Amino acid sequence: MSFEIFLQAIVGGLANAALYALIAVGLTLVFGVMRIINFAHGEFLMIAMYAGYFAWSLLGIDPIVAIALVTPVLMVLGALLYSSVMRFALRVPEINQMAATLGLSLLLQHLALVAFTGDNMLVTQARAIAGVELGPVVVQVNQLIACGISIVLLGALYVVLQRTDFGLIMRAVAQSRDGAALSGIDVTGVYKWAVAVGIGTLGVAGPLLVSLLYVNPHVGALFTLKAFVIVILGGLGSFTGALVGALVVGLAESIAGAWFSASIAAAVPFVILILILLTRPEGLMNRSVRA
Amino acid sequence: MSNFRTATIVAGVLLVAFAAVSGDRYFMDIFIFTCFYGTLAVCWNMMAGLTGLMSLGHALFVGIGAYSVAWGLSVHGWSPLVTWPLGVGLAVAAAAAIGMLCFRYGLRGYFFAIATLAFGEVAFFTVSATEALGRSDGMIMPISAEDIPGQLQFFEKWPYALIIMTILIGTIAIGEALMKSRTGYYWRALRDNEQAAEALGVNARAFKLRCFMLSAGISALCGAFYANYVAFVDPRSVLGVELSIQMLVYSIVGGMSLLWGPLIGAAVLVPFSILLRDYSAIPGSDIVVYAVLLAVLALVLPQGIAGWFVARWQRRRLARRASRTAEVVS
Amino acid sequence: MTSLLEVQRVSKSFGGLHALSDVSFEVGAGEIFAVIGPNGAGKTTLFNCLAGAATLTSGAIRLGGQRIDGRPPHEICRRGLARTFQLVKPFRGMTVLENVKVAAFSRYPSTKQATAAARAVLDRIGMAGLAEHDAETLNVAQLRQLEIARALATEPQLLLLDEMLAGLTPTESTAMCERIRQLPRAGIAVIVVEHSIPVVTSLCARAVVLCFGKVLTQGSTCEVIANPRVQEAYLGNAQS
Repeated sequence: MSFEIFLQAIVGGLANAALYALIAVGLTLVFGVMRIINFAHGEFLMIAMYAGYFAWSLLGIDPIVAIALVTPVLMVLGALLYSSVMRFALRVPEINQMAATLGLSLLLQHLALVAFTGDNMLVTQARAIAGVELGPVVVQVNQLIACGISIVLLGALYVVLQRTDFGLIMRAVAQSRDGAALSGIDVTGVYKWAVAVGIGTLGVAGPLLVSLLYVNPHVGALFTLKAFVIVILGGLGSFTGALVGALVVGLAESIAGAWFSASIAAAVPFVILILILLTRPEGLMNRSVRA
Repeated sequence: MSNFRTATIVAGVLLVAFAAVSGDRYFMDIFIFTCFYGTLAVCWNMMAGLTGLMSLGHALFVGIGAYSVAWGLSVHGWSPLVTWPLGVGLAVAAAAAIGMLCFRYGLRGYFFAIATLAFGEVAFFTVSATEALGRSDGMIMPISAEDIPGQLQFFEKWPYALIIMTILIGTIAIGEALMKSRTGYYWRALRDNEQAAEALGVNARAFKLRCFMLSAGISALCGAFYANYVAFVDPRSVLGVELSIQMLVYSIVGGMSLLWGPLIGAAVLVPFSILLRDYSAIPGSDIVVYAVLLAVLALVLPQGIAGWFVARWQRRRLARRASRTAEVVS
Repeated sequence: MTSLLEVQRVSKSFGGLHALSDVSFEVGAGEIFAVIGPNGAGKTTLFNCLAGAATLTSGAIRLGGQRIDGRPPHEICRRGLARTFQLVKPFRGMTVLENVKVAAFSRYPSTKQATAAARAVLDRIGMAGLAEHDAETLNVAQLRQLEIARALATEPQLLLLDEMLAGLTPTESTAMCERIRQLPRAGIAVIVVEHSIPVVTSLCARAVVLCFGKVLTQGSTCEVIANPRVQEAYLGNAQS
């Protein structure tokens, strides 16, 4: 492998990592606050991707503009997810929580299959083939845009979670549900907002992603699994951990893709997870006790 | 036979169902698949429902069994006498390796589920990229025109039904014997409170590992049967996450706290979904029904159909006993 | 008096926090020994270390002359050290008898023998009437009794009791104390973690006082309690 290809892979990996981080942060936010892993996370991304695609193909809206439309829709869907599934999931054992969100994920996949067929769809603007030369490597314009917007949003989310009262309340609920309730915090409201924001981030990621990658009904499952790996790498419920995890997965995948083949690259996130189990399980287990 | 009451009842019901469907190839096929998924769900639930270890990578073991048979027959012409033990042995070894890794670090709940999912997916992608195993196209096994009993090749479906019935009844019998022994008590204790169980002398790692190996072995046996019955294996049908999720669906719907609960789930859902798949105008409607049932029942009826009936029955029995005691006292 | 349990310079730290430092004491066969100290003194951590639920940072623990530190909990149980938990939780979906059977299996692998052994323990502790009850329906005092029954069914030489009297009514406390007092007659040594000083003086001949993970003092219970530093530690705790 030549140095140029390697460099190209690194740059591509970094660009992917920003989007991955955006996707994983939503998952980790919901888990951090509610202690429930949402196996249907990727399906909401899939919905956002379709929304971005149809905004472009039917209404001619640029995906970047579509973000402003899709994000509120996804936030509403998140709130609906809370009141229809997550609220009840709080009362049942862990296995049932997994089962419920897995069921939802299957349902959304197959509804999408009925509604949109299994065809691959992609936003193909003139911009899609444009590239920017950065020394020896070429970066797609769309990748740069996606990366940039993701980083801005991640920064904004970080500020909200660390510096505002809303973030403080959310962290309080994450640490102790009962303690927060006793201090007069409306825990239910916080849960609803956490899920709305966690799913809402996908409203940004979806339109960006659909100008880089085909959308089909099964694309979500792939991203759910990737998000799991990222989130576990960084420690479940940890915001900065998810960023680090996304970097690792994005780079490893991209380098493996350049070195071997696409099929091997698909298995890379799982190999990383298994390696983590083998070598640094404490990084994985520390947070599992309590974030 | 009081020690094997459940197994006896299951055997009786299966024989009646077998007699009812014999003579009709379509219904016999549904019967066979019901037994197949039923066995898988029961052995999956030995881990999930009875020991508290939820695996989302069980398709891996089914796949090992199925591919052992398909590869052994197509490439070497090996008989099932070789390939079945080979598949089961490999699956048990794989479970031992994965289990040692996971249990060494005390992975539980979500972590164990996602770790097993990862192993399953690695296997899925690896097989999908392996030339010798037919990549994602799968392997078509050679079939001859006439029956070869030594290769488990029959034109009629009833011999297959007898085989899978035997596996199912055997699984229930083994499970029943274990649940009444030390192992079963230890499994339930581990499911509920691992720390307390260990303080009472339970070697948590060893018993979880044994449970995992047993469950994997039975899954591989089912996989081997599948390969011989269908004569075609591909990654999606025997290694995909969907198969692992199916085991979860049947268990949740049937009832996870009971050994035979998942069997009820499979008996209700498998025929229903096959009929829906074959006769519904909308493709994939069987999966939609699965998905809705899974999500709703998991939240609304956490103990499953069978679990709900058993709980009701027990409550009634207790109430009757209490009223009898009250009469005696008064 | 020969020592059954020897705890030698045991230390345990979590990151930078020293939960136990340099703790040493000995417990003789058939003795009832107390571990006392204010909240957060490291009593439960000490129990976890003894029972193998936590690993030591340094030091050694010997039971009957053999090292048990670093061994897994189930093995320590088999060597004859049993414990109860502060938060009593029965195994759900099991009857009282079945709960005790789980413990009895550690000595008797066959179901028949384990059932007999479990029944014998329930008889001895006066719970035979509750054997077939669902363990989840028990009240606090009965749950504590079940906790002791389970520990006894592992046939220990040494029993660690963590706050067995918390939340019990005075009558229940007295009954529980009487039951604990009888254990040495069956050849079982007991270590209790207890807050109530009167209970400790009435039950135990000797005690060790922990404060911030260190041994403040140890010796005969009366002397220990009379020690001004101990009083200070307790009063200081009461004031905060």
